[in-house]
Formats: sequence, structure tokens, C-alpha cells
Amino acid sequence: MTTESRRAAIAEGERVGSSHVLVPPRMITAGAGGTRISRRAGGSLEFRDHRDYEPGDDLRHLDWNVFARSDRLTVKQFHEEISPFVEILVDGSRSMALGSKAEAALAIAAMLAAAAVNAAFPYAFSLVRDRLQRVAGGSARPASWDAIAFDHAGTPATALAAEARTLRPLSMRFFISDLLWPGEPQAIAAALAQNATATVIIQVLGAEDANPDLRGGWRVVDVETNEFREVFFDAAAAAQYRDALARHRELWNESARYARAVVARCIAEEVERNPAFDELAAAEILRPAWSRS
Amino acid sequence: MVPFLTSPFALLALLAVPALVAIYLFQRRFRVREVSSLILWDAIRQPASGGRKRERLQLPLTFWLELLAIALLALAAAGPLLPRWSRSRPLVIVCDDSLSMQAGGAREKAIAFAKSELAKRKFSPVRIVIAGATPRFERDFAQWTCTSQTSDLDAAIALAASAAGRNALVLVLTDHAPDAPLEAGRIRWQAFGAPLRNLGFVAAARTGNRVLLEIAEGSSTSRRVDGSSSGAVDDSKTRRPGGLIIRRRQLSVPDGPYEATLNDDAAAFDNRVVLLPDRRPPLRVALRVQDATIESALRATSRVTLDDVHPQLVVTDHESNDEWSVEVQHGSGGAAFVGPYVIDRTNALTTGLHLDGIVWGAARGAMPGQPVVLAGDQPLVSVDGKRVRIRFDRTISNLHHAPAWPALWWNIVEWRAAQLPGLRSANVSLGANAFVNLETPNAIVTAPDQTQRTVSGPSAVIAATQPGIWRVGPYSFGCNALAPEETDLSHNRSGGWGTWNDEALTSAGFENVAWILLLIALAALIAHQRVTRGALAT
Repeated sequence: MTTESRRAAIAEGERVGSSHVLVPPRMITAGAGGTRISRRAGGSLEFRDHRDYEPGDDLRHLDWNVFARSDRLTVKQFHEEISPFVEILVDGSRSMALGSKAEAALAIAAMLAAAAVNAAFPYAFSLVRDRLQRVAGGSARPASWDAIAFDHAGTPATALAAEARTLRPLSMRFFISDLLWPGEPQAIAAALAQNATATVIIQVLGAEDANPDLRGGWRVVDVETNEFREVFFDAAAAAQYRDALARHRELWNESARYARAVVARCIAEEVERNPAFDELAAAEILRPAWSRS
Repeated sequence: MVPFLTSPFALLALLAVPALVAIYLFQRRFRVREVSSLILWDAIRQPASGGRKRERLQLPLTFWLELLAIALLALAAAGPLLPRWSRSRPLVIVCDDSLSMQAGGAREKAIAFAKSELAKRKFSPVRIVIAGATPRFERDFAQWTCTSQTSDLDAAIALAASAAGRNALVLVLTDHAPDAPLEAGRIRWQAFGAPLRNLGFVAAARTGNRVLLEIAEGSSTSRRVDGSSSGAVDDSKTRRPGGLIIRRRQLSVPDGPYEATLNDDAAAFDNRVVLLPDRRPPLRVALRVQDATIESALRATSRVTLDDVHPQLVVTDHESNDEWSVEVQHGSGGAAFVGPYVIDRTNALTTGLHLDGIVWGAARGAMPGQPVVLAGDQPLVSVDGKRVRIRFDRTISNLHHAPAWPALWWNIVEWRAAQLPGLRSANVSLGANAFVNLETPNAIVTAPDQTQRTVSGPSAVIAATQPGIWRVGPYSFGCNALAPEETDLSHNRSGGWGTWNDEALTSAGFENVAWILLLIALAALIAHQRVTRGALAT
């Protein structure tokens, strides 16, 4: 069962998302059918523009009128119709249950779902645990999402690496996680972005993840693996921790760039104030509903 | 440069260091916290908790700052002293202010010696203590007048040592040898006197036209006393222990100031006396008691005239409403007290009063006023403002046959006369105070050297600092230097005693540097607070 706090977070995220709309991504590979217009030129009933003929182009698209006038071979460009599908994936590991990360992740997921509805994009909400698991009612309104548990004693990396290919092709994919697990992120980012029209990785960190408020000796225990380290946390240790976090972020940034994915970040305790709007708006993923083009 | 610790036991405070280490080791006992992942925590270098590989023990900066603060505070509490860098030493010059320093130019020789010593070596600061009856600090030798009848050198040296600090050197300038040998140290004693033969007045008193002079002489030196006299001259001679011969002369002198001089000799201060007649009018006393002993005691003072019309003092045996009165309570049926007597020596009525062997009969019971003489807890004489009460039963007493009886009445007469306008005494000793009751709000005081100042009434106290005749408004009194110990120059000496030892000269003294350590400890604590606050902020 989903706790009351999480239900409240979902409701709030849906409320915020209802005033926003997802923006279709620029680069969409050619696909079959659909009700939305893609921006890439391709076979379509709607003429867009001319370009010079290149070997391999469909000869049926040659514009003979232009050839007759100018002896120049040009082809017509047309819009292709595409229906983007939105995959909303949330990290279901135990680390997401620390602090208010779970509530923040659910709020962002609900916001994206509501924005998808505004854009008339179908969507599906899944938890990444040992497998990619569709959440009950995950394609319906966020209020009906149920049975959401962050109890996986492991990382989402394995499930993503193995099952990302099962995600809808040419879909817009949103992965919400704290990204705090060992290993190279490049493979995960690449798996997420494979065959996707847009990939957005949203890192939700808890305040304690970003800036541990500790002094003295601590035994820090990994909530997922139960491994522990004993640390004397002072100013020097805090500096080392911050450096490690910065390197981790840069690693994910680089991996996302390579996979042509977008990375957005927020702090769970501040998600109400800033649910990664800035990064999503800068990436032209999300915009207010009234400025719909 | 090894510091000297005045309180080394304070270093026991360093026992706090093991406690500090224990605290930090205890702090390293770890509390548990669940985290999302260890990938960021693995980046933190950990101090080794054990194992075969030796690693340098890692302790936080706060530990070292606290350790530094503890060490500095313990060392500061131990009172560290470091040798001073300065080569100059504080010097206090103690100057014998007694009259005998005028003899043989001792004062001038002493000043020249002091100046030569100051020129030889750098002293800083240099202070001067004038050792009179009460030592005092002065800025220069100009205030050293050698006009004190006595000189308390011990008190002056103690004042010098305590005021100037333990590093100060002391130079004593006097005219005689020290009482005890001086070892090498901080005190140097220089005497500039000489065992000169001297003749001088050592006592002089006048009652009416009768003058008593005492002249001290040390040998068969011929002496000549000049002074107007008339009538019979009594001469007597006594020898005091120590060899000083005192010649006493009693003279009858005419009215007016009497001056006597001696030939010039080694000391001039004691070659002249001036005695002024006591011009106070007799006290008008109304004797309203039938007691011949009281009357004879009053008349014996030669200061009383019986006047029942306008009395200034009433002696009665009844309760009196007069302003100034003496009530003699002759009540019978009392007890004959033989002592011990409790006498308030601070009261003027008891001056020179000795009651040994006296049988004092008096009725028992309380007496109003402040008791002055008691037998046990029974008041015998009391003073109540302007009223004196005497409880006395002559039938069971021998007081009225003893010298204490006229002495008591003399004190009563002086007690009342002291409130009347005029001088209390016509002649005082050099350095003593003259008391005068003024009839005007202010009066001009003219010293023998003609310097003047103004005093305010109704009563004034004038310090007689110069021998000769002083004038206070319409009144005059004489001041004489009369000091047998100063007139006797036979014990004067010249020479040096005690030396400033090498350690006192080469060592510049010690400076307590605890304040430096405390400042450094404070800086360490401030740094500790900043480090701690910075850790909290991050």
C-alpha cells in the first residue's frame, strides 16, 4: 500500500503537472503512423520544404516542376505523423525510501504524467526494482497509482541494463532516481536512451545525501547492501564527501551527454519549490500549458 | 633562555591531556546512520583502527588546538618568569631625613655621591624616599630637608622594596652605620656622618616666667649659653647611658619671648631655642563644691581663676545645667575600688593618669556618658559632650592624696581650655602639630622663613616644620628642634655597608610572561571555535 504521505505527494505532483505540458522532442526517428506531427522530414501527406536531390532519395518525391524550371533536381520534404509514448521509470530501491526521496520522486512522476496527459501523450509508470515493474494503474491518473514500495535491496542498474530494451520504442523516457550506486553510468544511460526519442534522467537527492549533517564518529550503513564504513566526520571529511559527489555528478553528466540524454537534479526536501523545472524547461521537455504552440 | 617557574605545581594541570585524549578516543565510538550508498563515503580517508600496518595516528585539528590551549594554560598558571632584556635596573634612594644629617655637610655629601652613582650606571626608574618619621616618596632631592626629629629607615626601606618591586636596588643615604651587618644583595648602605662633638639644646620648657633648659654635651667642651635671664639660675648635670651629659638649667626670664643660643658647632639645628610665654588667659572656674582638695588641685595648675559670675567651667556636686561642667558625685555607701582600672587612653582626660595603688571609693551604678575610667565595669569618670562626671567618695579613697588627683584636674582644665580661642600650646617641638582655635573664619599662617598660607577656622592644625616663631593670625607659637638622639653625633659614621651583588647587577630581573601564554591560548581557543563552526556550517 502506498502511504498517506506518498499519496499526498502524488496528488501535489499531479496538481502541478496539470498546468504544464510535455513538449515533443526535436529529434524523432521515423516510425509508423501516429497522430502527432514529427519535425523530421519524411514521407507524409503534408509538404514542408525542398532540398537538393541526394542519391538514395525516393524518386517519387522529386519535384519535377522545379526541375522543369531550373534543371535542378530537388526533392520535397514532408512532416511525418508520430505519437510519442511516455515511459516514467522510478527507482524502487531502498535508498529511495530514505528521507523524503520517495515522496519527491512520486511527485515528479505524477507531474510528468499530468503534463503528458495535457500533451495527449500516453504514458506508463513503472518501478525499477529487480525488474521493470509496471505499477498498478500506472497508465491511469496518478491518483490511482497503487502498491508502490521502495524496498528493493539492490540497485536499478541490473534491471535497466537487462530490460530497458522492453521499453516502448521511440518513447520519451524519464528515469527518476538518486543515482547512488557503484558502477559506470554510461551503460545505464545508453540503455535508457537506446531507441528513445528523448531521455531524461532526474536525480533526486536527499538533503542528507547532498550535505550530511554529521560530526564525530559514525558507522554509515548502506541501506541496500548493509555494508558499512566507520567514518570520523569532520570538516576535512565533509570536503572529501563533497568532492566525491561532484565527481559522481560529472560522471553522470558526461554519460548522459554521450547518450544524448538530459540530466536534471533536485533536492527531495525542496522539490515543492523546484521540481527540476528549470532543467526540464531548458531542455524543452516541459513547458507551461498556456504557452503551448 | 630557560624560564623560571614560580608555581611548578600548576603543571599538574597537564594531567588534563590524557583526559583530552580519552575524550577523543571515546568520541571515536561510532554511532550508526543509514545512508543511500557507500560510494561517496568510500572517498573519505579513514584513520586505521588497527592492524599490522602502521599508519600515522590521525587526530583532528581541534584536538591539537585543545592540547595547545591546555599546555599553555598550565604553563601560564605555573608563573613563568623570563629574564628581562633591559639592562637598566630600578633604583630607590632612601634619604635619612633626620636633623643630624645637617651636621658636617652629610646631606650634601650624600647627594653628590648619589649623583655620581647615577652617572656610573643606568638605572630606570629612579625613585626617592624621604625617611622621616613617616617615609614618603618625592620627585627629587629638593624635598630632602633633613628637618625630622626622627628617621624610620626600616620603614622607608620596606616601602622602597615593596613599591619598586623585587628587582629594584636600594641605596640608603644616612649618617650612621646599620644596626646589623648587610650581606651582598639589593641594599647598599652609605653613611656620610662623622663622630663630631656637639653641644645642643635637647629640652626646653616654659611656665610663666620660669624656663627649663636641657643642654646635651659630649665632653669638656666649653659651652656658653646666651640668653637674657634674671634671678636665680639653677644648674644640674646628669650623665645618660651612652655617655651623653645633660646639663639642666632653670631660669627666671622676663615677660615676652625668650631665646637662648649656643656657640656654633658641628650642628646648628640645636644651638637655638625660643620659648614664648603662654598668653592664654586663665580659665574661669566656678567652684560650687566644698572640697579643698579640688580647689588646691585647680590652683596648682596655675591656669585657673575662680570666678562664680562668668565661669567657663563649673565644678559642682549637684546636677548641673551649665554648658561646661564637672559633676563630682560624692555618694556614699559605695565600694572602695582598688583596680584594675580600665582607662581610655585616647581621651584627653587620661593624659599622664596613673592609678596604680589607688583606692577609689565610689557608689555603684550606671553613669551617663562615655566612660573614661572604670573599675571593672563600674564607671568612675565619664564624659558626656561638655559635661564630665566623677564618682568619688573621699571617705574611702586615697585618690585625692595621689599625684593622679592634680593630674586629673589638670587634664580637665586643659580639656576645657582647648575649646577656647587661641593656641593650645605656646611652644611645640619641630615636626609636631600646633592646634589653634580661631575667632575668625580664616587666618594667615606665617612661618619662620616668612612664607605664608591661609587656614580656615574655627580650628586649625599647623604642622611646625621649621624651628622659630610661627604666627597664626593674632597668635604666635615657638617651634624648637629638641631631639637628644640627633644632637648626639658621637655615633655617626662614614662608610659603605652592603653591596649590590653581581647577580643583581648582571641579571636584568625577571618578567612574568604568563600573559603572553594566555594570549596564545586565547588565540588557540578562537581558532578552535572557528574550526568547529566551519565544520558545523558545512
